[in-house]
Order: sequence, then structure tokens, then C-alpha cells
Amino acid sequence: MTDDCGCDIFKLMLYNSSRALQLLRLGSGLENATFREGQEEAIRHIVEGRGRLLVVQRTGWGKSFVYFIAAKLLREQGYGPALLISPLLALMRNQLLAAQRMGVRAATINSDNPDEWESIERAIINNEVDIILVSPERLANERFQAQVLSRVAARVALLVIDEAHCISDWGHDFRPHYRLIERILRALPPNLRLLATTATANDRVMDDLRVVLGPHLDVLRGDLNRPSLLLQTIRLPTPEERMAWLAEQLPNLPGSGIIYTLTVRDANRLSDWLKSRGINVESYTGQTGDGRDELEQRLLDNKVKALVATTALGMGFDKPDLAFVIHYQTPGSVVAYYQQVGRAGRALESAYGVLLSGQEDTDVIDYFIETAFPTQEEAEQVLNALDKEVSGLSVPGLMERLNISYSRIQKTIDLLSLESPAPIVKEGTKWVLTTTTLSEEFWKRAERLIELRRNERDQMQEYVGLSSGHMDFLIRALDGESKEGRSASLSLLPTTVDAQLVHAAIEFLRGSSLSIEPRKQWPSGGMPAYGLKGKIHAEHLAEPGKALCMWGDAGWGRLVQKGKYVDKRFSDELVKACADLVRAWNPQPAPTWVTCIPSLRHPHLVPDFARKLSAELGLPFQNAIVKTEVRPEQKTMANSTQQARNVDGSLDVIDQPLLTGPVLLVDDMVDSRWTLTVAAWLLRTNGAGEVWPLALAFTGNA
Amino acid sequence: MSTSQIEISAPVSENTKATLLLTAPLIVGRGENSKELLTASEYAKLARFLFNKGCQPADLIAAGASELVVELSKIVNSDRLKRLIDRGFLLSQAIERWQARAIWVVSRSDEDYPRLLKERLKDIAPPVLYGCGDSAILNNGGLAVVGSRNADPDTLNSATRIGELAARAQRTIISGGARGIDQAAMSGALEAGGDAAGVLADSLERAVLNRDHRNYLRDGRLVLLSPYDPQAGFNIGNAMQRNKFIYALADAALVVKADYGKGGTWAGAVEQLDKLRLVPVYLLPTAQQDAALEALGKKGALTWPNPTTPEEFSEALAARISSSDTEQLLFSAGNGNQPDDTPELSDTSSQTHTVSLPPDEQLFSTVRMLLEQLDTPKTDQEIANELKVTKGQARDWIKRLVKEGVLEKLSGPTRYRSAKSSKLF
Repeated sequence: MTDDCGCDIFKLMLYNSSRALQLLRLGSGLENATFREGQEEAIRHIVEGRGRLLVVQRTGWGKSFVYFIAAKLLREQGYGPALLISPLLALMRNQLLAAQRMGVRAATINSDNPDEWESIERAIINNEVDIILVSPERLANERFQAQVLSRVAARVALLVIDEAHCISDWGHDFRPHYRLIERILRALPPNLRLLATTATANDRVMDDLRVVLGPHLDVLRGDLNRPSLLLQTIRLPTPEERMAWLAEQLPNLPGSGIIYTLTVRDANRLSDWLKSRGINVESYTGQTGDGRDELEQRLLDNKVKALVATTALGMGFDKPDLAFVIHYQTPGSVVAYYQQVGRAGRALESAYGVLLSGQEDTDVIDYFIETAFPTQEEAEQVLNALDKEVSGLSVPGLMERLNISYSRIQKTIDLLSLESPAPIVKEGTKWVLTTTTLSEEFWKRAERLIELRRNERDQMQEYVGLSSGHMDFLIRALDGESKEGRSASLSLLPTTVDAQLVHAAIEFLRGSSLSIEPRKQWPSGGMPAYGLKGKIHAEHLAEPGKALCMWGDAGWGRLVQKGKYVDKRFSDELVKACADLVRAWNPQPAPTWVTCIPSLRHPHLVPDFARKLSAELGLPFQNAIVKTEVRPEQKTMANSTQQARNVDGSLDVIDQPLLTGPVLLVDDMVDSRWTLTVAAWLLRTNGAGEVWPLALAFTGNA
Repeated sequence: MSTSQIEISAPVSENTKATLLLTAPLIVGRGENSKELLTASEYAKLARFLFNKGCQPADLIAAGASELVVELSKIVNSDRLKRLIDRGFLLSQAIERWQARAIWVVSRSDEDYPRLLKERLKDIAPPVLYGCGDSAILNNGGLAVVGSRNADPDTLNSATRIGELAARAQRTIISGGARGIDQAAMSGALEAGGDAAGVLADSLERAVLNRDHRNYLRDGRLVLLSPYDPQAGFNIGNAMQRNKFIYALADAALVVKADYGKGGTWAGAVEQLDKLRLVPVYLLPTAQQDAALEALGKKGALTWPNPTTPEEFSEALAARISSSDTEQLLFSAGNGNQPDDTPELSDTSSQTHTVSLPPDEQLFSTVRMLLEQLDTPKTDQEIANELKVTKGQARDWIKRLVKEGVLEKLSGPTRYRSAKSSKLF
């Protein structure tokens, strides 16, 4: 088109090579630093506005220098700020320090710092910010778009999409919110400067990116091969075996590293275990909060042997001398695995990448796969509920009407609203239907992705089974060119475990109880039968309680399961374990009597257990609470509001006077905590002292 | 193409993106509107300049279009132009917002731009249109119903009846979507299973999420559109302006109730009768004497024949404006509106009404369209002059059109005129 009309491309010579180098040296703090292969080319490409650019380079190559320097050079030419969209802002601290040294004024806007939004916003409007960093979730947030972004959107001069592989359906790390980015990219005029970056992209991902980013995309791609890595796979079916293996091997490994787990709970538990064996580790998960900076720093400084982490410690973390990456469980795909293991040994002669594989791995991965999309029924229920309302519904409104869990409702809402055109949009706090019906394509895509995830899972199982050629396998799976040869300076690690350590690990698992946090608020809409709503009166709250174990878990979990469903009674071993737990816990003021949650369905199971426990503790027992009405089992209630309503009006206290003083309130299973909350309220309002809940097992996702 | 199937949902054309950057406020939140947007006349000048250069708006947003920006400085200050076209990220945010709500946006060069608006309004056709629902409805013509927001129940009832009759005649009701007469006529049509088009002056975004509209929009029986940003609030000027678009989309218009000398209905009807003369204008007779209707009658409005059957209804819609009026609209000398002078902004624009024809047939169909409206008899030389083609070329076309029955030959000196006009008058 442009050629036909004879409008020549006119290049403003914006790129200043010596200034770029100067900035690099300021940023790196190295007087003699020079650009790595491709870096300067990329900066020049962006600054001169030569069209969209995709940079595929491993983490640590220095992508952040490309966009920080480009942003700075553009600003020095009078352009507006750059906007960086990244899922991992929390991990950019090192890069931000470098930016600061270059005089690049960066502002991060995320859900953690709403207090700063106004001052950041002012700074942006006053033209005092050079690059704005936001997460894709923040970008999708209606309020953020309207209140903050709209003020600067008209002046954004460069858009940077970090971790661009997330756009692709085929990316191992496909994130729903990147669908929004995909659409923003399609709507962008070609004159806006665009840089997309990723560390890994196989051919299918690259094809997707070309479709989204346009036919005139330039690609800068680096080498995948990592000869310094010694890769090894070891099958150890049970958690206790892997715990024992780690306790034995970790102290012998050189340097510091990362141990990856699939779940937050595993990260915390494994870290506690290794600490109990005197190993200097810390857990690092999405729930670690503010401590994350410090933990990363300790790892960077080799002041900790390892961080036991979920993928929250992920893309963007750059420690060139990371000596090992060990997986406690098998990740879901080769791409994910390669990215994680690839963090080790970037600037080392050699480093370990060990994958431990357990029996439960595929179950956990399958759970992630199965729950990634709403079911057709969930989507229909949500859409029907919204169709009935004139002005839509909030998420709590949906929870009141639907027996679907909060997280499932949220997931359904998220995915539906990220369709385009979307069947639902958010107006204020409520979701309303649009004129769009949910397309068949949505379900086809869901099926296709689920199928893809399963194939990826199987490919990882194939990897686990390898006896040699690990790197070769990974590179071929990633459509890279494999080259032979690796450093032979390390030897493979032992694949056996010490039986005594396994025994110690089992003992450890049995000793790790879980906390039950008291609920402080009645559900939205209240408890009509009891006439309760709003905040729970401070004197009627339960105290923080304990659960002996996680339902079905290694440790006590299986024994609880067996007691409930096979033996129909809980074993004396569990009575003893709970008594030990209470003694170790030692709540103050100490309980002076014991009671329990009644059940019409299993009238003896819990009372018998509670009575035995009271005897073991030397305390009196009283059946103080009665069930007045048969209700469906709590586990059939899918969300907290439904569970609360299911308890509402179903419990009462006995007609006789209650024992006095603090009380231990026993139940077998705890999930939503509503039963305990109501029981505590009944006990407190009828004269009992502090109520200390104790359950055998936590079900649900605590 | 990759094996993956990332679907492309109604992408916004590059020309539309450029036009939006130049003219649209792109409201996505509380950001201040640019005060630098091109006015309608500035945009028309710029479009004409690009057209004459063989360029189109999309060329302004191609990577490295700086030179074009410099060239355009005769029309628009380069810094201002650059600031406008650099709003690319904002544009993406706005488009995303609209698309999520199933709101489409088209510019004059898009195939989906309503043909009637472009043909009838030319330069004053809105540069961009936002809408929701099946835009094909907009090419079907129909009856425009305009009227006051405040009408008595009887008049509202009449409007509803007219909507119902339109539905039975399978003709579209085109209206402004406002409270009162507009809504009565439109819902009359929709509830009776017919089609309706609402040309809104504000708040399109809110209207498309309205539960009452949802099913009609979804079923392809209602289309809502607006030349103003989907989030734009009420503005009296916009409300007045959009009247001409309602008329332009129709075959005929019916004024149900107007207030003499004031209000949008009055102003719109007067503009139509005195100036634009796009379609015949009917008045719904009232029991009492009505100053507004009387005055409009004097300006040439016709009395609504109160059709009661679908056939009568369609007959009323087939009325034509008297030939003296038409002459002023088409082929009049020196008003700068000759067809070849109208910038067509895209390589595809001439295909709007004959999408799949080869170029020669497209050209001919345009000629046919123009000469179909030739109500005043003219000689072949006069026609050749108007079309700025050789007499030989004009004769070829005329011959073909006479054969097709589009033109009829008058003797006396030999002159030609549209065959339709003789049938009606």
C-alpha cells in the first residue's frame, strides 16, 4: 500500500550509538561493557521505528537492557513513555536497579501498591516517568484501565510484551490474560513501536506469535544449547523417599540452587523438613509476600543453600552462578522444565539439573489440566444466572445463587470475559451479558488445550524415563538444533536413598499439623435462620485451631481416610497423635473440657473419637451440641456461601447446662469452617469459654 | 498460516484505525479527550489530499510515514498530526473495549460502511460509525420515523402501529432510539417480528448492554449505530446532527410529531426539506391544527397516506422527491458535488455496492446508479460533460442503460432521463 502511493519511508536518525553504549555501561556498572550479540541491533531497530520485533533469547541475555535503553533514547528524543507488560514484575528488582543507574525512571503499577497509584499517575502525567511496568492481570482490570491507564495511553511510545510466549495457545505457560494482549496487539496500528520478548519458543509458538504480531515481524533468535548442564532423572515414588534423598544429597552439592515443587504446600513442607535436618533453605512461593526480595537476594549472595520454590520464582530470575536446579516433582511440560532447569549454570563451567519424579506427579498435573477450564455446565449456570438479572451480578451475588465454588466461578468469569467478543463484561462491580453468545470455538479451544497439555505431560514422562541424552531430548522437543558434547567435570548423583532418613521423613510428615484460622465474618446475605449477619462478635469467635493432617496425605492422612470410610472408627494411633498434638500445641487458656460436632449420618464416629481423646487428655467430655436437622453433606456444597447456608439453623446446644471454661471442639474433617464457626458461636453464647477447634484432617485446598 | 486457530474476530481495518486516530476521542476512561482531533472539515480536506496523492489514511500509520506527515503540514500542523497518530496504544485499548462489547467500528472506506450514507451524504457522511448488531440491515432502506420525546399516548400508539405495519411489510424502521416516538416505532416493529435500526446520539455502549435490546441484537433484527464514541454522553449538537443520518438510511421519512420552531425533530425535518432533500418526508396528520405540521407542509412535506396494508405501506415508501428538488441534488452545476470529485478513500471503496464485480462492471454499475437518478432530461453531450468523459463513452453507457430500461429516450432534441421518474409522475 505504502509503495503504491509513492510515500517513501523517511527515517529520522534517532539512534545514537555512543549514547546507547554509555547507557549500557552506566546500567551494568562496568566501564568496559560492550553489547552482547544482537542487543544493539534490537535497540536500533526499535528506536528507529523499523517495525515490530520479537527477541527470543535465554534469560540473562540482557533483554531488559534492550528495552530500558530504547525507552531512554526515545525519551531523550521527546517521545512519550514506554509501557512494559510482564507477568513477573516482582522479579525485576535487579533490572530496575540497572535502569535506575541509567537514569531511566521506571514506575511499577500492580495490585500491591494501590496507595502509590496516584503519585505514580501524577508523575506520568507530569512526564516524569520513562517506562511504566504493569502485569497482564492489571492491564485487564476494568478499573485500572479507566482510572489510570487511560490518562497516559495516548502518549505511550513503545509497547514491550515480556514473556510473549504466553500469548500462544501452544505456549506451556498460556495465560488467559494474555488473550487480552493478543487482541490489543491486533488492534494496534503498525506505527506504534512494539517489542516482544521471550526466552523459549518452539516452532508452534513462533507460528502463533507471527499470526498475532503480524507478517512483518522481525525475529532475533539465540541458541538453546546449554552444554554446562548435567541433566539427570531419578524415579522416587513416595514423598518421603524424595525428602530423604534431598536431605542426603543437598549438603554435598556445590554452591546454591533452587528446588522446584508443584504446589505451595509442598514447598513449605519440604522446606520445613530440610530445615529440620539442619540445611539452610527457605521456601519461596506466591504467598511469601514481602519477604521475596530478601529471599532472592540471599540466593543471589549464596547465603542460602537453596530456595524451595514454586514457579513463583520463575521467569526473569537471573543468577548466573546458580549451581543446581532440582525438581521435587515433574513439571507439566518440556518447555516449562527447560525454562526452569535452564536457570542453572549460566556462567558456570558445570551445574546440576536433576528431576526427581514421584508417583503423585501426574495426579497433580492432571488436576491442573482438568481444572484449567470451566465445564460447560459451569459456564451455562453462570450465563443463565446473569441472564435472569436486569443489571447483572457480582461474584458474591453469583456465589449466593450457584452451588459452584468461588474459584470455579472466578475462573469461569475470567475466561468468558477474556473472549472477544466477550459474552460478559464488567460494568462497575457487576458482570452483565453482552449480545455475544459463547462460541463453539471456545470449547474447541479448551479441548485442544487440554489435549495439548496431556501430550506435554506424556512427553515429560518420556523424559523421566531417559537413561541418557537428556539435553538432546529437550532441545529436539523445543525444535532447536542439538549439538553434542557436555562438560564432564561433574558426575551423576546417587539414585538410592537412606532407609533411616526415609523413616525420619515419615515421622516428620506425621508431626506437621495445619492451622485452622477462625472465620471473622458471617457470609454475604448472613445466616437468616440464626438471625446473624456482618462481623462475628469478638467474644463469639472460635480461637485459631489445628488439623492433624491433610486429607489423604502422606503422614496421617491415609489413616484418617481409612478410619472414616473403611473401619468406621478412628484408630487409637490417631487418638494418641491428636493428644500429642494438643500437648505440643498447648493452647492458652488451656481447655478444661472436650466436646464435638454431632452428625446424624454417623452418630458415633466423632463422639467416640472425642471421648477417647478426652480420656487420653484427662479432661471431661460433654456432647454439648446437637444436630437438629438432616442436611446434605458439607462436601456437596461447592462454595462458602452455600456451605454457610447449609449449616444455618442446623445446630443447637443441649437443654442441660454446659460445662464451663475453655473447650476443645473436635471434628473429623474441616473444609469451609462454617460448622466450627457456628458451633463456636453456640458454645460461646451459652456460657462456654474459649473454643479451640481440633480436626483430624483438612480437606479442600488449604 | 499456523496450525493453531487463533480466530480473528472482525478486525478493524487499517484505514479505520487511521481515521479513528485522526478524528475519534477514543474514550476508555477518565483520560482527557484530545483537543486536537481533526474537525469534520479538516478531515475532509486531509482525505481529499490523500486521495489526490493516491494515498489512503492507512498510509499515515504505516511504519515510517514521517514524510507523509510533513507533506500534510499544509493542512494540519505536523506536530499535531503526529500526536494524533501516535495515540496507537490508546486506540488499541478503545478497540478492545468496543470489541469485548460486540461493538463494531467502520470507516467510509470499509465494505461494511452503510452504502446509503456514503452515497447520499458524500463528504458529510460520518468518517467513522460505531454499531452493534447486523449492519446489513442498514442497506435495506425502510421508513425513518422521527418525533418528539414527549408525545401523548395516542400518538405513541400510532407510532407503534406504524412499526408493526412496517414489520408486516418486511420493511425496516429507522429511528433515533430516543424515548417517546422513536422507541414506540422501533419496538412496534421489533415486537411484531420486524427489523429496526437505531441511530443513537449518545451512550451506544450502554444501549448495547441493555437487556431489552440484547436478544434483538443477537438475532440480527436490531442494529444500533452511532457516529459518536460509544461512551459519549448526551450532547444537543450531536442529537441534532444525527437526524440527517436517520433520513439518509431510509427510503422515506415520517414526522410523527414536531414542535414548531424548536427541537431536534423540527430542525431535522427543516434541514431535510430545505437543504438535503434526501428522501420524501411525510407528516402524520393530527386531529387538531398543528403549527409545525402546517409549516413543514408548506416546505414540501407530504401527508402520510395512512396505509393499512403492507402493500399500501410499501407504496408510500416508493414515493420520490419531486424532480425539481432532485435536480439540485444531482448533476447541478458548480456545487462541487460532481461524482468524480468525491474522494473515495480506499482501493476497495468502489466495491461497496458491487463487491464481486470486475472493475469495468463496477464502473458501469456506478454510472448506472448515477443515471438512475437523472430526473431532468439531458442530452448525451450534457451527460458526457457532467461525467467528464468523452461523448463516445457516454453514448456507450447510455445505449446500454436504455437497453436495460434504466434510461428512457425522449425525442425532440434527443434527451435521456431515468425511466423510473416517468412511472411515478
